[in-house]
Amino acid sequence: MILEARGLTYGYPGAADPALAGIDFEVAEGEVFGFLGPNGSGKSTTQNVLTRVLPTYEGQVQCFGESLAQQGQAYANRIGVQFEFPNLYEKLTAHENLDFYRRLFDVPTDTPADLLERLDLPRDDARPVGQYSKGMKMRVVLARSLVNRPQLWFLDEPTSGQDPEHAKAIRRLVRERAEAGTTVFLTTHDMTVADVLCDRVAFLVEGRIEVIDTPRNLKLAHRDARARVETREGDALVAHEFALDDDAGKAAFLACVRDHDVETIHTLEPSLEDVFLRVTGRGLDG
Amino acid sequence: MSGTARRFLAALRLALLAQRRGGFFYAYALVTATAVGVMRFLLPSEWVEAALPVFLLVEPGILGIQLVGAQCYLERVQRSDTALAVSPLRPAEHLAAMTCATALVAAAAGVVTFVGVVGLEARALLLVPPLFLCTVFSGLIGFAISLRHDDFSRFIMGSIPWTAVVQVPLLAHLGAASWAAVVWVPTAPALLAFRAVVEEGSGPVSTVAGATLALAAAVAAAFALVLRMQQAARLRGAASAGAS
Repeated sequence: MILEARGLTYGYPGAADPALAGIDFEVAEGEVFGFLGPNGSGKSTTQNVLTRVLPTYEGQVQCFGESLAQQGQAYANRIGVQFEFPNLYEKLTAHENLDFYRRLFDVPTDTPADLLERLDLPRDDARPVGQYSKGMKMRVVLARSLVNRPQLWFLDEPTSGQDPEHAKAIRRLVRERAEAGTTVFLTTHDMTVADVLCDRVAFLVEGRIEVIDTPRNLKLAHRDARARVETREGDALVAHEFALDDDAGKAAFLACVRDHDVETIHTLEPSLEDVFLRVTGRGLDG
Repeated sequence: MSGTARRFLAALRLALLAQRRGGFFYAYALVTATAVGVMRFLLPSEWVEAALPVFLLVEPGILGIQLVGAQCYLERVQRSDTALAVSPLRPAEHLAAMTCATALVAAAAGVVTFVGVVGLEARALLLVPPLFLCTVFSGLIGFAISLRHDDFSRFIMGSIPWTAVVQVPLLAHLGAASWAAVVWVPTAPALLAFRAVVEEGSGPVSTVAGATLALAAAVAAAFALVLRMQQAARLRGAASAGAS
């Protein structure tokens, strides 16, 4: 395991309740692990603990086979952190931002020009990043998080502020890196991103993990075993629903398909967001 | 090159670049030109010897606080400091680079001021250590003040009393107080060093060396204090981020 937490607890000074109340999880090498929850659930706190911004915590956390508490400054050489907000030097160009950052590492780094090109950003733009759109700034932040070729990559809402084309390209980049062996710790409240990208997800509510599983298993476990068929009846479109967990329902479904002019067929599996709501009893916005 | 040296140089280069883009160099150019202009063309020549140490202290004293503080404040507004927190750059390296960048510019400006008024003389180089350390000290104060304020106007207001404090030794220089009364202010040794160089008194080198040692001790103490404040501020920032 690249990352393993047992009984991870963190309380902010003066807070009545801990932000993290003894959570357990583990992340395997090359896995895309999604940490999902509404605002205030403890996602950012977890990321801050794991990136050593918050150095004091209770419980056991192992990273790369060693205690996180024992990791020295060299730990930063092995991780990449993409923030949810554009935390760049606004008066510097994208190239200057990346070039400064890469000089801080003790490990081989990628060139700013290559990273900028990979994220569909101009290589030699003389404009300061303060003049970029939010989507462009966020792609510079993403490029910066990759500069040291991290083994463990923390992503926080990686497609936030992106148009559909760039969001798709970023999802593809994440999958490519994971397939190349990079472990990804993805923090998000976007269930669509989590569903597409993550090998496993954890649902976090009020500092506790409610469930950890693959998106597919979660959806199957909470599915309605029903199918919805739309058929054409003259000028009208007619919807039919069938239970698929009994023989009568299956027979009716097959008969419908055989005897009608079918326009669409869908199984009524829940979305990951529906599953989150059912498991936690809470929406993602609250 | 060691990792510390490489990271320090990278951060130093960034700080100088950020200062240039932020127009900080203009502030130094303006103050230096004003100082030289006033002393060469406005003040009676017999006053210049007394005025020059004053301008030399004002430059690192005031600008050090304001510009390092402003740079620290800008980093916090842009939240670029959060990216540094997860990089191998240590807080001490960052702090040292930011204050040294300002100190280099201030030392250069001080030497230019001296040369502009007195002429090209080797003793101008004796000004470099006290100018540098004095700016580092006042820069650390600016850094500490900016850590305590999230609003720029509050930072400016918070810096005014400290800007006055670092100028207190001028009272002794101008004869309004004894040196014993102002020696508790860490910029006093710098002013003594400036006086020694300007007045070419006996043993300016030993005066400068002594002042440099005293300033270095003040810088070390301020450095340690600011690092502790920075750690506390980071935890506060993480707490507010975690709560949001």
